[in-house]
Amino acid sequence: MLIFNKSNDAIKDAGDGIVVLNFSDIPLRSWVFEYKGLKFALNVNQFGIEPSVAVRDGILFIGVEQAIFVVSANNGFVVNSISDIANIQWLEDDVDSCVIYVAEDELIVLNSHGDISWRKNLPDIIQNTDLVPECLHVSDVSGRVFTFNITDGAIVSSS
Amino acid sequence: MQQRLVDAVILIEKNSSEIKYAEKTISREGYDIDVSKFDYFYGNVGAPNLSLKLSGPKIYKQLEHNYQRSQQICSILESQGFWNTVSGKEKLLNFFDIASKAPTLSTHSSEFGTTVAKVVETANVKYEVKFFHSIGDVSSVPKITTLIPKVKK
Repeated sequence: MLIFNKSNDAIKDAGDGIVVLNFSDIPLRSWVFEYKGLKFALNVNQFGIEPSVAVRDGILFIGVEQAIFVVSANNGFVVNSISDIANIQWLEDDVDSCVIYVAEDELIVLNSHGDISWRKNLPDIIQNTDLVPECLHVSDVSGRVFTFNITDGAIVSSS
Repeated sequence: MQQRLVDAVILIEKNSSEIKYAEKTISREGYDIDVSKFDYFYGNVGAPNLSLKLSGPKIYKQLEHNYQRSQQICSILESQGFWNTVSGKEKLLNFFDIASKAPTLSTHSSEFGTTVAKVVETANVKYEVKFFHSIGDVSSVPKITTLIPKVKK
């Protein structure tokens, strides 16, 4: 389990072996954590919600606020980054083949290499999600319920 | 014609922050907004029941995130004078009027429709406002989905 520490300043200097990642265009503060000897500083605007991190085959998937970074856990090299997201809320990572990030109003699904498998904006803010075999159930704050195929994002049902 | 928030209010209890509305949606020039959005923007999303923490920890965490996010938006809005009152919300609507005409930051489309993010900056805060254009809506009046305020210092 990762432990996130708060730093009340954004960390600008990537010295001392720290991997600095900007998750906001207005970074004011930072979440700091270590993984297998690598130290990461996640620059954010607010401390509202903790980062959501998953690990797949030596690759770290890190999402918080307005970005997702996919980073090599061995050397901190950034494999992929997505930076125009509303706000990352949580992730669904109980699927081996992918990592599903749930943002306020969209789903971003990455394959185990860190590439985007599919991305889908929704009509309203997502209230909760749940995994069922091969599918993701999504409920929004307006009471709509959608079921998506995890592999390709196809709508299985909506109501 | 611009619809004012106060026209949709049917009851304001004195000394209470509770505001009830006669309508579900406010129509403004260039966009609509569901009045339920004000609950989200002003922290009126219920905190998850603690009993869920044991019986449904996953859904507890998700509801907690929604709650935290709602509180966070409210805190920033109120710090900028967008109070949780009818006049404060009217001021927020006037701000959204400006946002609806602001430059587009990003656009994302799916089979549901298109989400357009617009950005407005003030001295202290950078706001991103998301407008959702539903597919099949011939009038193409977007609805506000969310607001992302980022303080500058």
